[in-house]
Amino acid sequence: MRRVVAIANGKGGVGKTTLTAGLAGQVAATGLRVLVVDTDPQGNMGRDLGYGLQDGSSLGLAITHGLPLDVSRGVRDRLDVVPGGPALWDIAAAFTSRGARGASLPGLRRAVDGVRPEGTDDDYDLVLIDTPPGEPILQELVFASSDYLIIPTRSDEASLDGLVVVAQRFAAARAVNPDLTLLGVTLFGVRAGSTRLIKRVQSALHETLDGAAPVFATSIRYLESAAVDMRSRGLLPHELEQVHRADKSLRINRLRQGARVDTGDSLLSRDSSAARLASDYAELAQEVLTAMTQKEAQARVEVAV
Amino acid sequence: MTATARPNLGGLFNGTTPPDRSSSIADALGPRLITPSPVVERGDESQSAESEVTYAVEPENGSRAANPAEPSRGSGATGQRITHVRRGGTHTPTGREHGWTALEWIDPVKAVEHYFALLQAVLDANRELAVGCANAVSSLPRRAGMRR
Repeated sequence: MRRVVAIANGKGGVGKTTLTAGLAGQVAATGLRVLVVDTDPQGNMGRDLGYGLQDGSSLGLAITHGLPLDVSRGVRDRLDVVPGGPALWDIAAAFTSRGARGASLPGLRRAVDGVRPEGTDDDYDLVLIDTPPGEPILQELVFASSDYLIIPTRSDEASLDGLVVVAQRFAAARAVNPDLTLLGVTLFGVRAGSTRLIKRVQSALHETLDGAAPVFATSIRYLESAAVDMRSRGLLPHELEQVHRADKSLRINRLRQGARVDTGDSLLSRDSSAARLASDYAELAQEVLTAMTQKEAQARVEVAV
Repeated sequence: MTATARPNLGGLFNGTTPPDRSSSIADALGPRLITPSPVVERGDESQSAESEVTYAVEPENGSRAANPAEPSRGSGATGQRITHVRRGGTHTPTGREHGWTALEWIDPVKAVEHYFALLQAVLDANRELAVGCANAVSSLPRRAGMRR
């Protein structure tokens, strides 16, 4: 069954795109089919997943005119992408203009529903939609098209204030999508080892959310060197870990052969940090999938009652 | 982080607190008639000849519950029987072929306005009647005195 999950925060730079890419890659690596939709006009998903930057016009025309989407197939095994790009800046204007004269737009859900994996009768298991922070109409469009919302936040005050913005948009979007559910909030980009800080922020988040959704126990650590390695090479965390492993065995082989160890193309990050980062994503992906299963079980019980 | 400086967001996320403003896209996402094609329910091929008008119910607007008795997780088909997707009253279908009742065509805001206008008229009439009766009662002694 397909689940559509939006990743959003009202503030930029909190890790939405990186988290979307990392989760998508991790879930696809476990054998599920994943579609990533990049609704960000900046189109940074291309850097995280390592495909060429695009202008997002296909997605823009699908939303405003109902044209079929161009999908970048096989970005990874079982992972397809609908790329974003600067053409998506036009959507807000199109909505305002058509709304003013009472005309309707096809919207995002219909466009995404029309996309199916190639070479199989199965549907996607998960559709992850990355959102831009400063475009309320684009963000609401995504909310109107999603089953769940995940909010990444950093530990600083400004990022947490972004939660208030996204909460207002979420509540407004429920007018058109009453089934939209907050799946959880996750801390992103926290310094490794700052356990006390993580606990303190998570506790404050619990209080702010007042039981409306969980704060995921897994937080994604901040590792500058790994982030640079990943974006410069278009690698996901678990792929960076694999590259490190391959790199390590190459160096050992060179040592054995008495050749120069430095290949001239060394990674900035250390293999241990890449492994820890990959493990963060694996744990978070598991938490997210479990949370969805629990929400659905809860919904079934409510319907039965 | 100081939690006290930040409002409690639980209500906004669970729907008990209304947002400060309404959705900016609600009006722009309307239903559109796509094709008058036959719709066949799974396991009910015998009804395949029955022609029904299907609507491109905007998925944003709750197309995910093909069966209202089931939880609405996951996405639904683009075109569904309209009887399955009229959830929450946010859509106003535009087809005439289905024999909609008059109620379904009424603009709810106008209906409320008419209701209160009617209520006001009834209240006005009541007031006139009550004031007339009170006047008549209060003038009775005076009239009785004049007769004597």
